[in-house]
Amino acid sequence: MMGDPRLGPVPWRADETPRSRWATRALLLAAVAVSVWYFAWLLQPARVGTPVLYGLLVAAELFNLVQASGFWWTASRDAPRRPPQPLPVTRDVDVLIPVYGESVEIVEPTIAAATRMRGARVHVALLDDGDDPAMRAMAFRHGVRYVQRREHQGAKAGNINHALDVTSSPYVMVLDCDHVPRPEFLERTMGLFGDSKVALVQTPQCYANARDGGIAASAWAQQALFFGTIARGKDALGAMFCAGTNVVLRRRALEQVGGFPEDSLTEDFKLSIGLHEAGWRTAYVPEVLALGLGPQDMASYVGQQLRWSRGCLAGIGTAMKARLPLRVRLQYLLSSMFFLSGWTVLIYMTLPVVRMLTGAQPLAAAHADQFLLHFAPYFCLALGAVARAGRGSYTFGGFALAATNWWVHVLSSLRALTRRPAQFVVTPKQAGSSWQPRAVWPSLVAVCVLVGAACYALVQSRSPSALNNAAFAALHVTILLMGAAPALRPRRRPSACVATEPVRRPVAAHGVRAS
Amino acid sequence: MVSRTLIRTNGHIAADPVTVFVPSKAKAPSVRRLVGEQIAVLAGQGISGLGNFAFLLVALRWLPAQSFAALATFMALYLLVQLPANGLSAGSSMLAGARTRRTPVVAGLAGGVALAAAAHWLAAPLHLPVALLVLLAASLVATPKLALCRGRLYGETRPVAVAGTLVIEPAVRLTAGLALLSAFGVVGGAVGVVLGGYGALLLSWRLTRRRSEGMESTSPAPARMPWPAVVGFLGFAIVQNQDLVFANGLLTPSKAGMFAALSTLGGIAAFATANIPLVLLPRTGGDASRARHATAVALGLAAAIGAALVIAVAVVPESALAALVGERYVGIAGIAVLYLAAMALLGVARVLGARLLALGRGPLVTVVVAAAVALQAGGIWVAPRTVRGVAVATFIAVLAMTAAFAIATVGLVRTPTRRLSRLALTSWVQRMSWPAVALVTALTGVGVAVRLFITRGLWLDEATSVMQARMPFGQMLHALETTDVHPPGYFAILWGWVRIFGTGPLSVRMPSIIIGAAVVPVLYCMGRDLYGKRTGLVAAVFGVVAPQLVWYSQEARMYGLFILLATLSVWAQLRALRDNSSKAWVAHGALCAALMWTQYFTVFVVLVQQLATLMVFLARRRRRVPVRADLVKWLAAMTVFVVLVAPLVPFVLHQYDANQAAGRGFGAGANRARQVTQPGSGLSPYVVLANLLWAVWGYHSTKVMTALGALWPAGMLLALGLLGRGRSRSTQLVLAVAILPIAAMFALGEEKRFLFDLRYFIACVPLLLLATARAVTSWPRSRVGVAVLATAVSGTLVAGLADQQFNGDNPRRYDFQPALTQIGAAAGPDDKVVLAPAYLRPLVSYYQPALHSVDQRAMAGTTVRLTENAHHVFVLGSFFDVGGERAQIVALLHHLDRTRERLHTWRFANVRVWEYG
Repeated sequence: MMGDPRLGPVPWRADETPRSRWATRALLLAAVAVSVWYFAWLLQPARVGTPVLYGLLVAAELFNLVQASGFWWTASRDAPRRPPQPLPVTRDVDVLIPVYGESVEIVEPTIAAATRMRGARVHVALLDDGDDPAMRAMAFRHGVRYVQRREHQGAKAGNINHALDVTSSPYVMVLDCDHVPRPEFLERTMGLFGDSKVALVQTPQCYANARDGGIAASAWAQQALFFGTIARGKDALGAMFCAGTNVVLRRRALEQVGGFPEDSLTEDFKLSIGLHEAGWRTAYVPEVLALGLGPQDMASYVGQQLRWSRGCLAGIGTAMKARLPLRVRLQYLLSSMFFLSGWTVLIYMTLPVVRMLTGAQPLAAAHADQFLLHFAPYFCLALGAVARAGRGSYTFGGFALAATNWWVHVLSSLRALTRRPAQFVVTPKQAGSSWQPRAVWPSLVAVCVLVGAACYALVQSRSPSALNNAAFAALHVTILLMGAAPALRPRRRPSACVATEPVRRPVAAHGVRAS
Repeated sequence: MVSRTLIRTNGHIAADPVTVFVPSKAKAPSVRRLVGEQIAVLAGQGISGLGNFAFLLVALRWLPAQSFAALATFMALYLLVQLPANGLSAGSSMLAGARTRRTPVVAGLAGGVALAAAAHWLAAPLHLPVALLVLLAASLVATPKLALCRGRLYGETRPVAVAGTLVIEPAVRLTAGLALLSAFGVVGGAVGVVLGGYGALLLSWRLTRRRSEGMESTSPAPARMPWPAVVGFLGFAIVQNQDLVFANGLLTPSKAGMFAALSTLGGIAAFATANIPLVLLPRTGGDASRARHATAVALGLAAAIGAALVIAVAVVPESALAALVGERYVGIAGIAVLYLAAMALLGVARVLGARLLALGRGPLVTVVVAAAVALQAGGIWVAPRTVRGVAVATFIAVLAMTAAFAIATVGLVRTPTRRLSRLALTSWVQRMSWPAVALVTALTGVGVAVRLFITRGLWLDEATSVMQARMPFGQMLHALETTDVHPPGYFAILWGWVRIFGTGPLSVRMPSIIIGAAVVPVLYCMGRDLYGKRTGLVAAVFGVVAPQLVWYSQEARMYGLFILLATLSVWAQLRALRDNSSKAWVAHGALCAALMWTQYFTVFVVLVQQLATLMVFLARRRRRVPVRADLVKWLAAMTVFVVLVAPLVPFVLHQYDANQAAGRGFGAGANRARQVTQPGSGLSPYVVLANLLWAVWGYHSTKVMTALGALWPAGMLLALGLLGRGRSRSTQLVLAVAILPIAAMFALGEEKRFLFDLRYFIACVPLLLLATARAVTSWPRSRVGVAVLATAVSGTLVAGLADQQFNGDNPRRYDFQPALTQIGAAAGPDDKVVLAPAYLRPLVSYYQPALHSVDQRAMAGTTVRLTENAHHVFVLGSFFDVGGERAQIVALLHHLDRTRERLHTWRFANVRVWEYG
């Protein structure tokens, strides 16, 4: 397909570690030191201003510290690894490609590329939960197996599990329908199955449409950090989990844990916990071996984040209960708790508003310069650690997009607490509407509140304190607007694939996690 | 071999006789012959000059000042109306005997008639009698023909004949001229001058006619005159003479007479070398080797004659000068060296210009000379209406012209086939387009203009600099060694500068202004070299209006030099690391050494740079990239650094010992005024923040700084904005050199509070501007975005600049000048001024040296007793926020309040004046 970015060159190297591991570790150590300094100052009883606000600030800061520490720990284990040796014998691999209403134009390159993979005897199966005749015709056209099922239970997990019943190869590769594999995919990954304890080999998800900018680029910035230093670090810690696509699994391991869990929103996450609990190992190959498509509009992104956050937050309990080594358990907890970080954004936005409207503030007995003295090194080194460990892959756009969707985390955690069933969608593979303010309305409300409070405060006083809090409000407003901008004035981008109406079909709870 | 002969085709000149430099088998003239030709004409010129000089000297003694000024002006105008003649000679010499059109002769006749007709109306504005103007018109008639004939003699390489035509002019003047002068005064003298010209015409016409009669007809049509040469030499003559005309019109009669004397003296150098380029021109066509020899001979002679005359005037005792020009004009002694140097440089410029003309660069010569003429005229107009002011303007214009020709000649001689736009010293500049050159030149000009707009008088440190620079060199070094804390590099420059340009407020700041303005093109070039044209342009725009760059360009201290050298040093290092160029490495070493000679805290800049170099080498080694060659060059650069810095070491040690012995401690320094820069106690993040804000947006009032400081969350946004941005090695080094010295100074500041001051890490300013320009040009995705962002940032800089320059609450602004002017106006001979604190003395010495001043003593009573006999007492108070100064001043005022009546209190920025009756 002409112009399809998924068929182009690989835009990113997942195996690039920071040039000097020593320097990275020194930076991480410095970050630890300044964070201790900051919290030793912050947690002194004399700092307590308005107790409730102080409590909120400390809770947010501690949560972020835990997340940051987890990142530093994971990143400190990041190191270059030798690529695996190919297996001496050729194996059979079932390549399962679940689809659910996507267009043929999206899926066909994936099917075509899957049939051309080297390094194994490939048996491609198109698992069509959408019962689309065009999909069937396309499957026959490429000579691949077309699998349908009568009852569409368990969404993506159910679809794969059904396919497992009708296939028999000792290895199973799962590909989302928009992820076009490179011919060398299996050559690069199958070698790791030489270790009989390895249950799955994960490879990065890379958004080929990130180069077009917009939401896809920002979403990719978040993905790149994960599939870069974090995934490599998790692999070194033996805690890499399945990401749902671009993964090869050992059938025996899958069968031992009963296949993909169908009772989870993040079946891949829960499957990984099950495999680790059963004593299997996981592996990660830091090499982009398939190119996919990221969300291209805010609604798609929000839908994806809602699904991931809900699933991962539900996984907290599973991880807590699982019999896992401590380091592995902590890694699962860190990953799943990340989706609580929206609460910290809410707190940080609330504090200056409260200060400007009521005068109440969280800290007492501290001049602004003291706060700055303790906070600035912590903040700068934390950012520096992300920048260095991520080799610049994490961008301001990614940060702003995550911050703008703070409410997704809040909503998901509230739903998880109230055990309300989730409604979610498969991530569309094409750009949707060009005007989606509804996808960011909570952030727009927050912007209005922040601006209003700042105006009120500045009308009341031009004191340094008022200016400082107004500056904080302006900081939040800028970040929120930067993140929300694609939903407010998005550009129509030429899609890689032929445009059809986005698939937005509610599915039953415990459905799929599609990228 | 090439000889400059006419192409003859069947006895006729080729179609384009101007470019008839053709290869010839004739033997090229030897250097000896070239020297001989020049010497012959020089001899003629020398005799002629001496004759004319003798004529003027006699006139100087015989005539009263005003009459002599009129005669000298007439002589200058005589030369002025012969301006086309100089050019015509040059052009004619390039035609080598070809028949020329009659147009110049007709033009001369018409000009003469027109001038005679207009003499009545021109007399008043020129302050000349009508008769002199009529005589001038008479000379104008003969001038073109004389010029063409003489030029033909040059072109035919007949030096002896040329010398003859030169000698005959003063011969007539010294005989008939002096007789007429004694009989008819200034008009008689002028007639003698004109007669000399006609005598020369007669002789040269005869000489050229005799040669023509022996030759066959050379051309059916007259040759086309090379007008760029004509215009170029016309410009040289204007530069040489227009200052005298301006002086006569702008200065008072006595000053005009003084300048006429100076011009007469300076004219020696210009006159002595005037014909060197004309002898050179016929020898510079064709073969490069021959042209090089001829040019070298001409340049050597011009430089040697000029230097000899300058040295002679420099060493001659004042009494001898007085004997030469008369007691009335002995006042020119202080400026004679400068003016003679200007005229000597003019001789060199003419040779270089002739060389460029021969290379076919007439338009360039025309443009440069025109620019010099304009610069000189503008300079004279804006300069103080003094003899020195006119002389300095002339010197600057000639210096600029000579430098431009030198650069162009180097570029063209090395790459003679390249376009002018490609001429430059380095390959990257050679790639600069004309629009880029014009734009950067314009930006630099705006930068100069912004920096010339000074809104404050000298403050204490500057006055101290001037006081030291006024001392004899050895004494200044000793003073620096024993009472100061700075190395002598900048002071040596200032010392030399004030010797030439005096110690006026603008003059002492000019080195900093020039150096500061030079940062603008350096930022452009560096930005262009490292990141691209757009970044260079934005960086240069920032450099024009950056408040700190402007501030320290307007201060007679070393910080402007610090900025320029540090920027150049970083650039040289980056080029060295990138290209492994030996020149860049050596330049880097030399610039690092220059930094050390400028300011001691530059050591942090140098250290960070060397550390960065080391890290780059280690990284390369890790990547298995060979580093041996780089390492050798780096070591060579460091050797250069050590060799250049070594002579400074004894000075530093003595300075350290002296300060320790004086109980000041090296860090405390001699000048407590520095403490005002950081009021308050203890360092805090806000101090760092304030210094960073100052670095980019300039000095502001406490109120503004408090408000700006409260906006520090914007820094968080900036930090977040940096996420995911590429960081090249260049950017990393630029930021490291900008930021790490700040950290080092912060650490030092914990020990000695006042050391954490922007001045001591001022190198961060251009580097931060460059990094900002890089961000501005690379972060937005569209050109419109770049333009908007660049405009916005520039706007904030302009706003910062305006507030810094005009807001009287700027804490760094010290209005000593109006305060002392006020005291000077109010104080009588029986009054005394108490300097509180005592170290304000250099300011009083500078602004009001006649005041009777008393140093404030530790005990207020003692100070008051010292003023008991005074009619009125003035207290000049400042530095209220330094240590115990405020308390001492308050105590003094209390004492005075008890014994005297307080009459007035004047408030100025950071300065107050109290008057007691």
